Amino acid sequence: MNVQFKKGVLEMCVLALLKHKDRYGYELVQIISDYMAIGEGTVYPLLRRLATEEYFTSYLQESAEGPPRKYYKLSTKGSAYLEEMVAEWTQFSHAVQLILMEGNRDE
Amino acid sequence: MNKQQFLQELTEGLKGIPDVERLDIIRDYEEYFLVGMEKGKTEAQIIAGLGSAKQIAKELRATYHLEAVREKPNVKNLFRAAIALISLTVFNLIFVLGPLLGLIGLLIGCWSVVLAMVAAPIWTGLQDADAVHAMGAFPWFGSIAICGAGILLGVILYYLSKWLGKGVVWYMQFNLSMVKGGLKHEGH
Repeated sequence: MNVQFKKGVLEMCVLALLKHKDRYGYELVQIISDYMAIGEGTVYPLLRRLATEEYFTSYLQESAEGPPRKYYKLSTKGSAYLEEMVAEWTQFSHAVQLILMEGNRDE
Repeated sequence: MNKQQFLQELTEGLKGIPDVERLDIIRDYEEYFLVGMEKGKTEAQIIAGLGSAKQIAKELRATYHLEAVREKPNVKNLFRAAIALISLTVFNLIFVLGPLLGLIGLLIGCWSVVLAMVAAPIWTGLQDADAVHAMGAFPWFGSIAICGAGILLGVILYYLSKWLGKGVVWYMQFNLSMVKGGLKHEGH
């Protein structure tokens, strides 16, 4: 899958995962890489960039099993941005679907 | 390579970023390693997954400088952001460095003209006193008029420069997000 395209969609994926649950960095990377092949190193820069845009806040929480973990929490701004992106994505993927069907039909 | 070496390489790559921010970034990656190892991964596996520390550092630097130039658009920050962007990929060399240099050249040219105009009375004063006196008040009024026009143009040029500076920042952000894939939303 094309790298540029993947990175754009990645933002949306990260925000979507934070919609109902606060998560820490490792968790986010793991879930995403379970579903698609990404360079794990690209996620933290992405998180920092999204944080400077104020799409989420972060807080440290003590953990029983190890080091304190930094949890990310979606902000109202991030929630609005997510909604926008999901709407665009839905529209886009629907259009692609139709075009593919069209392509198949002409065969 | 082990965890310490990776973090060391990352730290070195992040030179130019303020200590507070750099330490925060290292803390994040340190956490990533510790949690990973807690879950049973080896340092080598984690490093293999993360990729190149140098590349990560470049990306983080570019993000930081771009944000800095948005907050405080002075020439120093502008240049740092441009260099950080360029180091990200050769692609940007053509699309960022070229226009930036062209724009700066243009601005320097315009400012030179304006400054020369404002200095007009000085040129008149430096001319041969007798020759100037023979032409009456004309040279003096003329040069004062040019000086005034220069000041007016200078004010316009000042605002133009500011506006263009903002344009360049926007342009570089656009470039950055093109390279990273996915357009940023201007929600500010």
